[in-house]
Amino acid sequence: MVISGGLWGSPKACDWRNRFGGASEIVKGYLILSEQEETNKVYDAAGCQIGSLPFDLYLEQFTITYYDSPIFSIVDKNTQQSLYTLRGLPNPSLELEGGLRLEVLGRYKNLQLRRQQGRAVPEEGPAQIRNPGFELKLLWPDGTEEYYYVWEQNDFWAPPSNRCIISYSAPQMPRQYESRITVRRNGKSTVHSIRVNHPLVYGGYTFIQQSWGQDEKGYYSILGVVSNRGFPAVMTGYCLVMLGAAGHFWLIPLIQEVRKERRYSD
Amino acid sequence: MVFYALSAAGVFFPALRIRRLFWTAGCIASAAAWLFHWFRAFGFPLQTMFEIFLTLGMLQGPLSWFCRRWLGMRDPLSEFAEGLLGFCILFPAGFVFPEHPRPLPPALQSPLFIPHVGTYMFAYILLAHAAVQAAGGLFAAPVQREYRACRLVRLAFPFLTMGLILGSIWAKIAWGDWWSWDPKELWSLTCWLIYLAYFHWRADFGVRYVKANLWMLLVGFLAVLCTLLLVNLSTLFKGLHNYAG
Repeated sequence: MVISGGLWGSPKACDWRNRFGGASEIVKGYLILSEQEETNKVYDAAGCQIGSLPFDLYLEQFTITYYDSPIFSIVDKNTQQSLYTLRGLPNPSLELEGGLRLEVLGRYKNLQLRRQQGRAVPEEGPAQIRNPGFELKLLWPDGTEEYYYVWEQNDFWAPPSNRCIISYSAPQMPRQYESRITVRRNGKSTVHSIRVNHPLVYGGYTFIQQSWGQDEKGYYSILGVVSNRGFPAVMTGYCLVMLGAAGHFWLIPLIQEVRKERRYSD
Repeated sequence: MVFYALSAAGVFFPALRIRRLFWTAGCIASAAAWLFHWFRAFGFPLQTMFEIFLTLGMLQGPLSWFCRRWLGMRDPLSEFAEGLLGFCILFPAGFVFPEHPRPLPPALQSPLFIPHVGTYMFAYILLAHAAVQAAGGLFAAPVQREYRACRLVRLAFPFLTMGLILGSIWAKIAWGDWWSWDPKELWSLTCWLIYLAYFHWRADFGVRYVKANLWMLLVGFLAVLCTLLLVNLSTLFKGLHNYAG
């Protein structure tokens, strides 16, 4: 059963079904989905389109969660000495040692700075570009206010008169990659979540969180698409092999042992 | 580790009757170390090589007890093997591999992670016991020791089979293929095939060529060592299981 199931789901068998049975199956491929975009086109590893799914997939959002937090370092500009290290940012403010106060004035998905009357003014840039950043304010004990602009992509800007540099270190240890997907078929929509090791099984295919990337439009998710042909047969075969091994090596010797003991006790 | 070493040495001084005491202390100490690491780690400790050997060390005690109680392994060689294996398993955990816990990467966050690795752990310890019996059989009492080794391998083989099958199912779910011709997969299959060949050989010839049986068990365990160590640690075998290194 394992071999027959494996053969039935193999690329060769799929090819024969498509050629002689008039089917249009995809045995294995990849879907590349940008956020807020819809597609049903499946590509092979070389990037050539190999077919289309009978339904559309729409990527609502791709998220990466981390075990660790981002690190913000506040460094003295003159001495280059690290004054404070923060794991994540306060919401909205934090009293630091030495009477210093840090305030988060704004969080932006695409932080852009505009000059207005000689001052830098932060604003949200076009939504299709991701360049997250923060507007921070340091309030010194002498009452001086300093404004800082920190981007996640290791960028930083502050007026030259400011006394510090604030740097950002992105989190390093991913916990999970998740694609929020809407499947659209015949006017009906269903929402699903695809994570690593938690695929979506739909319409005879399994959708696997394979990879991801980032371009000027934002995140895109690469989903593996695998046909489920032969899956039940292989699983049944595996169950039989497991039961057979346990029965032959564990159960039968145990029964024989019990019988032997009974014979001796009789 | 020290307790297990003393327990193995205690076999040579049966009059002292402290062997079992050291062995029990070894079991308790390795279980305590395992529990301590589990509380510190980011998940069930089966991810790094340190955690693998620590878990093997923790399982070694109860499995040795099981073999003694249910398979009648009470001879001096089996008792020596209990201490020796405890020492050999815990040595890499203590002195070779770094102990700092690592967060579980997304690729290992699966309900199949613990059953897949856990069944292999059970199998490997039982096969290590079988290998000690087989090695002992090359020097004395070959038939008796081959019989004991065979009982151990019969107990281990379904675990080996389950590990292989669970790995294949996990690969299908995570990577989309039942089988990827990965070095770890190939070595696991090699182990399974060697022990399968041993059963067929034994079914055909029994203990007529008992030395051949013993050598097959030793070769099988060598393949187990390659699967567990060489594939993960050697740069020769780059594959999908590299996060275990």
